[in-house]
Parts: sequence; C-alpha cells; structure tokens
Amino acid sequence: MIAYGCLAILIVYAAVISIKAYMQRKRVPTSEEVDEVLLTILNRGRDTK
Amino acid sequence: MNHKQPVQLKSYSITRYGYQKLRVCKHCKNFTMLSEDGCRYCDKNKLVSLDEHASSLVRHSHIKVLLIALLIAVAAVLFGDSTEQRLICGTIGLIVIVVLWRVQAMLRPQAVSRQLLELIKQEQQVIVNGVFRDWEAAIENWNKDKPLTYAMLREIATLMHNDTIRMQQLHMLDSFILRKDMDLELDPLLLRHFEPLLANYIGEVAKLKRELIRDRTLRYVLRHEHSILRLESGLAIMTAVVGASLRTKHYVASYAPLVRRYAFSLPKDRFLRLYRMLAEYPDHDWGGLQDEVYRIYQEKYRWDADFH
Repeated sequence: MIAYGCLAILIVYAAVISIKAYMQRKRVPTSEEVDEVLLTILNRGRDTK
Repeated sequence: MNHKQPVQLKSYSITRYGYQKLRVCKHCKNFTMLSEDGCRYCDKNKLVSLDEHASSLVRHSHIKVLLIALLIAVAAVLFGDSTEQRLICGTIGLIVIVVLWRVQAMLRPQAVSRQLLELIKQEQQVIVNGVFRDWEAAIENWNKDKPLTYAMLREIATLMHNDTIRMQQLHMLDSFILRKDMDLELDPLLLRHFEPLLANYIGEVAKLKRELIRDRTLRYVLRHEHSILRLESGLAIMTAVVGASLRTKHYVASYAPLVRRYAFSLPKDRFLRLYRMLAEYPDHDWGGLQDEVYRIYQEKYRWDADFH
C-alpha cells in the first residue's frame, strides 16, 4: 500500500508542478518589460531622461 | 594648439535589448556591462549573458523537480510488496516523469523569461553596484586610454541614462579627430541643457554623418539656436545641421523656418539640393522658404549652369 501511496504523491506532485507552470505561462514578461524594469532600476533617482 | 588626437574607436555592438549588454559571472555572481573576457572581480572566465544565466537557473530548477519525482518513483518501487506492484509503480512512475519532463520542455521559454525578470528584481542592488563599478573602471582610464574610456562609457550609457555620462562621452569625443568611418552616435548624447561641447560635436557629425541628424537633434539646435550662434563656430554649426537636414522632404517641411534662416550660408551642393527639392514640390506650402530660396538663387546662382 505504501508503494501506491508514493505513486499517488508522485502524480499529485507532477500535476501541481505542471498546472503551476501552465498557469504561469500566461504571465510571461516580454523583453521590452524586462528592459524597462532594468532601466528603471539603474536610473532610479538620477538625472535621467 | 589642436588638442585633438587621431584615434581608432572600438566598434560598438548593438543589441536588440539593453539588458543583453549585461553579463553575470557564474562564479562570483557580479554583474558587468563591459565586454571583457574574464571577470574583473574573480579573474575567472565565467561571464555569461543574462539570458544564458536565466536559462541555466531554469535548467537547474527543472532538474531538481525531476530528481524529486524520480526519488518518489524509486521509493514507490522499493516499497512495492510484490514484483507485480513494483513493475506497476516503476512503469507509472516513469510515465509521470516523462510527462513532467515534456511539460517542462514545452514551457521552458516562458519559464526563462520569467526567471530573467525575477533575476533582475532579486539582484537589483548587485546589478547597480556592478554597473557603477564599470563606470568607475572607465573613469580610471580617463587620462591613460581615452578611446577605451569612451568605448566603456558608451557601453555603460546603453543602460545608464544621465547627463553626467553623456558629458563624459562628449569630453572624450572632443579629444578625438572624428572621421567618417567611425561608429558615431548622436541621439543618445543629446542633453537637456545647452552645452558648447555638444554643439560642436553636432556640427562635426552634421558634416561627417548627415544621417545622424534627426528630429531630436534638430529640435535641440532649434531650442538652443541663440546660444549656438554665440559660439565662435556657431554659424558653421547651424549651417552644417541645416545642410544635413536637407536629406528628406520631411525635415525641410518640418523645420522650414530654420532652413530659411540658414539657406544663404549653405554650400552650393546643399543649396542646389534644396532648390531642386522645392522645384519638385511647387504646390507644397513651405512657409516662405520658397521666396527666400528664389531670392538667394537670383543673388548667387542665377548664372550657374548647375541650376538649369
């Protein structure tokens, strides 16, 4: 029975990981967003333009 | 005495996104924007791009997940009461792991993009420190190697947008004899205030690389026209800029009053270009430019065969 218990845990674990990854695929930052965040970090509070 | 030196400038590699200029050392985790082979902090040859680093972090995290899944599958096999049960657990475990691996592979590009943003947010202070140290390294070469200093400042200025770094670049450029074959830039160097160094640089660029004179530069010279004219070479700068703006009808139409003010000083080839452009679009409203060009034509080029 422990073997099936482990198998169940494995299936649930794989399902949780897969669903989480699948859900997150909709919130993928674009390269432009990444650039914008980096520029904001590097130019915060300076005489930027 | 002429303080300008002939130099060979390192070519500047253009990346599609600014963050692609940033690299991280896989050993000491410091960031740099400079195109050096080895890491300045640990001397190891382990500098990689942020994309590569994010990709490697995702790969490690995926391997960790697969190892955990494998561990559970092995436990299921080991705890099996019979060979049949072990076989079932082993087969199902393997199928689950393969499915998990396929899902990871399928969603990997999205995971890398998320990891990239996460990495930048988490390491923001380290990134800022790294870029500032790059800046310091550039300034350390100020008197020793000016072309190198300029190349370093230009790399850093891809992500650091401030007038201080622009001024430092202009100081470097002012010490070089500029040539047509140099990889020059103009728009990123435009300041908010009037600066004679910038005005002189604009004048030189207008003569060497007309294609760099675009709307932002024209707006800058228009805004600071009176200050530029107070410079020794002010009129030459304005004339060169106007001459460079005659590349397209758009600039002539958008800055017609500016063109009109300096049309008289234009060299013959530029004036001829302007003359032909106006002749090509006689019905366009040039706002008095046509009258001025005609007046100059009558005064200077009436008998010139090139105009007929």
